[in-house]
Order: sequence, then C-alpha cells, then structure tokens
Amino acid sequence: MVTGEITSSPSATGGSSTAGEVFVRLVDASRSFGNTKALVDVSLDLAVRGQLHALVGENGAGKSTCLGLASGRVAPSSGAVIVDGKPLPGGSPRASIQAGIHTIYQELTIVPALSPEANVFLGQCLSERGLLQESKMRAAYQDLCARIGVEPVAARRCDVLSIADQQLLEIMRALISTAQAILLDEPTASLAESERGALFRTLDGLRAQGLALVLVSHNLDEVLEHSDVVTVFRSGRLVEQRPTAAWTKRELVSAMLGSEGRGAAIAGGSHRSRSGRPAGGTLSPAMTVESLSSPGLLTNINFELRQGEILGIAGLVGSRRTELLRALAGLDPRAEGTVRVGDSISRVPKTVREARRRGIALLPEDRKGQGLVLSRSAADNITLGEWEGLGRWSILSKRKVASKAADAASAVGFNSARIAERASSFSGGNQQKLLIARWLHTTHPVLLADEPTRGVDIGAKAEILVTLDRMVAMNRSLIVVSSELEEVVGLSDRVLVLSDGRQIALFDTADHEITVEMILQTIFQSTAVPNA
Amino acid sequence: MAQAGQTTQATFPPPAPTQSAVAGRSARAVAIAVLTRYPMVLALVVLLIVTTILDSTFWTSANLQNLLSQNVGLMLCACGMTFVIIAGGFDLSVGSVYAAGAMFYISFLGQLPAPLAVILSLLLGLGMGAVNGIIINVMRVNPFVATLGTSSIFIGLITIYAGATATFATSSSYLYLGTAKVAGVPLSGLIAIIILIISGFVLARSTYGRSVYAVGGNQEAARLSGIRVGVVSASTFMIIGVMAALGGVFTASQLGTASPNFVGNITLQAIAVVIVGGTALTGGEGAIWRTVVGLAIIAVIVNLFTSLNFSPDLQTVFEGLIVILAVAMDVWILHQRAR
Repeated sequence: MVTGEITSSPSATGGSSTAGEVFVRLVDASRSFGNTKALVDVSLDLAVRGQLHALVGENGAGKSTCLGLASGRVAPSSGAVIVDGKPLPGGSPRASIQAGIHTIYQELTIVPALSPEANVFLGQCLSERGLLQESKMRAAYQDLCARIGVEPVAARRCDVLSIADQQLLEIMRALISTAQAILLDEPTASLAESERGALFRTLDGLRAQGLALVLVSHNLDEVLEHSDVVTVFRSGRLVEQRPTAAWTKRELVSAMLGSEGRGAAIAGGSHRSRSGRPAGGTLSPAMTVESLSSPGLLTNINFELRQGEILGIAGLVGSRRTELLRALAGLDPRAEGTVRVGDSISRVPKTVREARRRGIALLPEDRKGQGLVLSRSAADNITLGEWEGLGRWSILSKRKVASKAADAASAVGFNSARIAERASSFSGGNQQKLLIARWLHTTHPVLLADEPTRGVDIGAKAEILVTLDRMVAMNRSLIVVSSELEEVVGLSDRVLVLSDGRQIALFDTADHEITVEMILQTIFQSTAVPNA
Repeated sequence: MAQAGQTTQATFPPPAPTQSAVAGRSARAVAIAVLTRYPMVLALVVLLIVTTILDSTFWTSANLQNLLSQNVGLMLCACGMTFVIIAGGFDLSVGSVYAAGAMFYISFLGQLPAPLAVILSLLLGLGMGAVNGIIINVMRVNPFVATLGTSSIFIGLITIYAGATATFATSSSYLYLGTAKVAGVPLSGLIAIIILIISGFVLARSTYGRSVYAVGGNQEAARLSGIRVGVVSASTFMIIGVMAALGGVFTASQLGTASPNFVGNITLQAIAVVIVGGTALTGGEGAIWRTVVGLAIIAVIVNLFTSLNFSPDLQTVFEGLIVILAVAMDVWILHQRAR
C-alpha cells in the first residue's frame, strides 16, 4: 500500500525479474583520481533484485566511488560494470538511467530556478508528443508526497528550500522513476527521524517488488536494521561481505578500521613528536571561542585553544569541520558568537583582513584553488600579502623577497634553491610546504590548517607534520582539520569531535589516550541517537 | 538532527493559495501584485503613459505598423537569444548571422525563386548556429570567446561570397515577405509574433524547454539526470541561428537590399532586450514573455527618442547604458537572493 503507485511502473511488473538475481555487478573495477586510488580491483554483486545492499567504510574507503561507477558519474579506470548481463558504457549517467539505474547523490543535484515538481521529474518528465503534462505531474507528485507522508513543498523555486527538503525531492526523484535499481548515497544524513522512517518503509515496499537497492550510509544502526547484506570497504578495497544478520556493530567498526594494530602504529609514529611538548593543560589560552553559531552550518561551538597546542578537529564528511575553520578565519559573515584572541575584541572576525590583523591565519583546504597563485614563483607565494620589510615605498626588493622566502622555505624542508620556480611546477607535497612556509614568514599566533596533508606522499606528509610540530614549539597554536582520524589522533593534544555542525565531544590526551575507535564510536553513537 | 527536523517542518507549510484563489481576488489587487513582483512590467506601463502624453502619433495605426516592421529582426534575434541565455550560453555572433542571412538571400536575386532563397538562408543560419554549438560544446570554448570569433568569421566569409556592395531588388517576389500585409498587419511582423508565441509555449510547456532550463540552471544536475547537456546547449545556438537568419531575410526583403552594415547594433540590442525583460544572465531562468516586455520597452524608448528628434548617436549611447543598468540590476537581485 505504501508503494501502491509504483507497481504500475513497467519495470516492477516486468515479471521476468526474480528476487536474488544479480542486476549490477562490478568486475575487477578500479578507479584512480590522479595519484589517489579510490577503488582497487573490486568485484562485487552490487545490486541484487529484492535486496537492500549496504556499503560501509570510513571517509574515502571507496563506497561512493562504487556507486559512481554504476551511476555513470565516473568511468572505471579499469574493469567493467555489468548491468543485467550487458557491459555498461562507462561515465554516462544517461546510459545508466536507460539501463534502469537511478541514483540519489549525496551532494544535491537540484536545479534552483525550477519548481519542486519540475525537479522531481527532472530528466523524466511526463509528456505527450513532447509537451509536458503539468497537471499529471503535479498529481503524481502530490500522490507520492501523501504516500511517503510529507507535506508537498509550497515553493515556486527550489533555491529557497532547506537542505532537508531538497534531499527529500532528490529521493522522490528516484521513487517516481521506473528504475530497476536505486542507489542511495547517504540519503538520510539531513532527514528528520519521521522522514527517515517513511523513507525506509518506502524502500521496504520497493524491495518487496523486486527492485535492487544499494545504500551507502555512515549510520551503522540504520544499516544493521534495514539491509540484507553489508559490504565493508577500506582504503579503496573490498574488505568483507556478510549477510546483515551475521554482523554486529562492533565487528563492523573493526572491519572498517582494519586490524587493531594499524591505527595504533600510525598514531604511535607521530605521537613521538608530540611527546616532546609540555602538557597542554598548564598553558594559558591563545583563543577562546564561545557559543559560535552560523545559520544552517554551526551550532553553539565552545572551546579554548591553549598556547602552544595542537587542537585536532575530527568528524565525518558533512560534519562542518571546514565551516568551523572558515568562521574563525573571517570567511563566514553570518557567524555569531564570541572569539577572543588575547585582545579586547570579542566578536567573530567578519573579514579575512580582520582575522589576520587579530592574529588568526588560515591554511585553506584547496591548495590550488584557494592557497596558491600557481602562475607565480614559490618566493612570491611565500611572501604573498605580507610585504612588510621587503622593500621601500611599496617597491618590493627582489633580493629581500628571495632571502626571506628562502629562510621560510628551508625551515619547512622545501629546497630553497627552487624558490624562483613557478608554483605550478611543484608536486602536491611541495605546494603544501609553500603554504606552510607562508605561515612561517608571518607572525600570526593562531593558525588554522584545513587538511594540511591531503593528497601528498608519505615523505612530504611526515615533513609537514614535523613542521606543524615546530610551529607549536615556537609557541604558536594550531587547529588542524584532517579526514584521516589516525593523523588527528597522532598529532593533537586535544581532539574536538564535530557532528552535523555540533560539538559532540572534546577529548584531552592529558586525561587518557585518544584512539580512533573512541572518536568513531562517539560519532556513530551520536548519529544513532539524533537528539543526544 | 533535531535542527534538521525543525527546519523540515518549518518549510513544509500548507500549500500556498493556488491560481483559483488568486482569480478570486479583485482585478486591482492582482494588478498591484503583478506590478510589484515584475518591475519591468511597471516600467513598460509608465513608459507607455509617458509616450502617450509626449507623442500624440504613437497610437496611430501607421506608427504601430511601422514599429512592428522596423523591429522584426530584433524580435527574432531576441527570441533566439532567450533560448541561448536560459540554457546558460551567450551569443555575440547573432548580428553577423542576421546580416549573413540577409546578404545570402539577396545574393540569389534573379537566380533562384524567392521561396528557395529563403530556405537556403535559413539553412545557412542553422549551419552557423551548429558551428557555434560545436565550438562551444565539443571544443569547450567559452561562449563569449567562441561567438566573438565566429562573429568575425561569419561576416567575413559572407562578404567574400556576396561582395560588400549592395544590390537592389526589383523582383517583387523577393520583396513579398517584407512588404505584404495580412488584414493591415505586416506579414513579417505577424510571423515574428507567431514564432514568439510558439517559442514561449515550447520553453514553458515542452520537455525540450524543461531541459533548456535544467541545463542552464544546474548543468551537473542535468547531466546526472540523463539530459544530453551538449545536445541541448548546441540546439539553442541552432535555434538562434535560424531565427537570426530569418530576421535578416525579412529585413532584406523590406529594404530590397542587404549589406555587411546590417551587423550594426543588433547583437547588443538583442541582449539588452532579453536582460531588460528580466531573464537572468546566469542562465536557468527567464521566459519569452519577459523578452516580449523587454522588446516593447526598447522599441517604445527608441520610438520616443525618434519622435523627440534625439540624434541617433545619442540613442546608441542610451542603448549601451540600458544594457549595463539591466545587468547591474540582475546582479543586484541575485545578491539580494543570496543573502
């Protein structure tokens, strides 16, 4: 009854499909993005008729890439996607849709100026001889709303809707389609409890009709409750697949993290550097943040950054880690609350210039897009924006720029003989070192580093971590965001855990050793109990 | 999560008043609502009132007929431009295609029957549009640069082919389209109006139109929902190509001649019309009726200036100013919405 309307779709009544039959299969599928291997040789019965298949894993484990291959968003670097016995042309969303695969993406694909109905029917309009059947679509939309128990959205355009409403439209797009397989990437992340219930009831109905469902979710309780089969991914590889009944939550978490030793070994490696510092607790605050909020992003964040400490920020994708740093760096004009940096001003910095004047500097997440002027030399990039003492009457002295830049560069392990080369000619690791050298060149006491080691090789990563440590030794204070939890744990004196823009825990190494598992348990606990 | 729940409930209010409820309100209330929501309609009404006061000949049948035939080329170019801009593109070559259509048509004078010349000219426009579409969607050149380049190529090629010196038509069959009248209305104007109506219908009510909005509004969303983004985008350039060529044919048929000078100001004017009407330069929104309002505003302003004996040079200055003001307003509205 819940899904009465959908039985009228030709695919569902096709009859030829039988439950248990494999609909989408990956064969030795691999996918690389530059040097990053997102998926390595995965062979998997991805979508099976009459089953809800859940994919779990840490950030970057390869779950979303798996979906991307089947949805045609990305093409496999090698291997194949087989749909209903036939190979799927790679990288064509249109081909995937025609093959009967509908995907709900994590990032919303809503067309802002179109109405809610138009967005639900995007690419699958009801029409007769090329003309839209608006009233039929409106009726079908309202009918679907009634079936899944939500009020139809009364907006004429979709850019005024909340993220949750847009997410619902995205889901409705799949429910109204005639697809035989529906792939869902974190569909419930922004839904309220009642809407989640309605979604899973609808999915149950679709499964009973023989549709193949694939769910990517961070919410392990949800996965254990609703799926038939769970597959665990780690670092782009398939780790293990079992029927859901054969998994426990604890087993899932340890399969996601890998062998017990791994996290500890990595954490231990960089732990060495931290042990040289005095315990963070005795030092005075470098920055105090009180009730920091930003509409729709951050809710009531409170913490103190102590002088000479590294405060790590941990959280899953969408936990608003970057948004927190941006608010502190003066990049979120809507942020409200109190930020004190050892001065009398207490408001949140409203501009980057204000933040920098008060002593807060950001090392942005996107090295090439936000950090470097790629067409200029390494020296120019290190000294960018901080030209004090580098010349007279605004005329820069080449010699002074070069010598100052060389000092900063050698301090971060960057070959100072290369500072005249263009920034674009360097590897990711060296580019990141340039950005850190810019920090050394300046005197800001509070430094915010967003993913400082993302996409750099192991050697450069070690050097970057050592440099961050050296900054702390110079009595600067750092906030470090990283999606690699081992790195956060290994580097930080304390760890602030974020979930959905809220601060859900603040761990201190002075109290007890912080482990990756501890952080993940905290996060998954909080998503399982939404109001906690 | 609690917050997500609240926002969801807050933004799922009961359905807003539907159209039948609006119809229940007094005509005056509706008029006020329309005028405040659509400032350009208000501007047009004010402009018409001013014109009526200052220019006693404005509402005469002769003047209105004149206005219609003078603006046939602009109507068609602006109509095509609406498709292109809604799909997130831009076409600076429309003036060249317009002139090329006119010159190609006249070049067949005395060699081919007029209807065949019309068809060949339209095919030329279609081909030029296809070239734009391919450069932009296959070679992935930015539409501004691509059409700025082809604008020069098109007008150069057609001048090499047809020669820069004007030939004058004496054959009445070649003048028919431009001079014939149906029930006192110029035939070319009537055809342009019909094309505007069909275009409005296609954009608002057809699956093709829906794809055009989707491609301009969120290209990635359109791609992921299986819409052939490149094909849709290229097709809008072919539409404007055909329409601009038809505009050229009409003008050539009215004047009995054509020359490279036809390029003139029509590109700027067509963009001005679309933007003044309120179609966003960023793509994804807009409508033909807005273009019609824009057309009326620009045509009435020009008519007013002429009747007040302003110099044509001053008119050119004003046209430039209007485009800049309209785009500035567009940006300002977007900024307001983003806050």
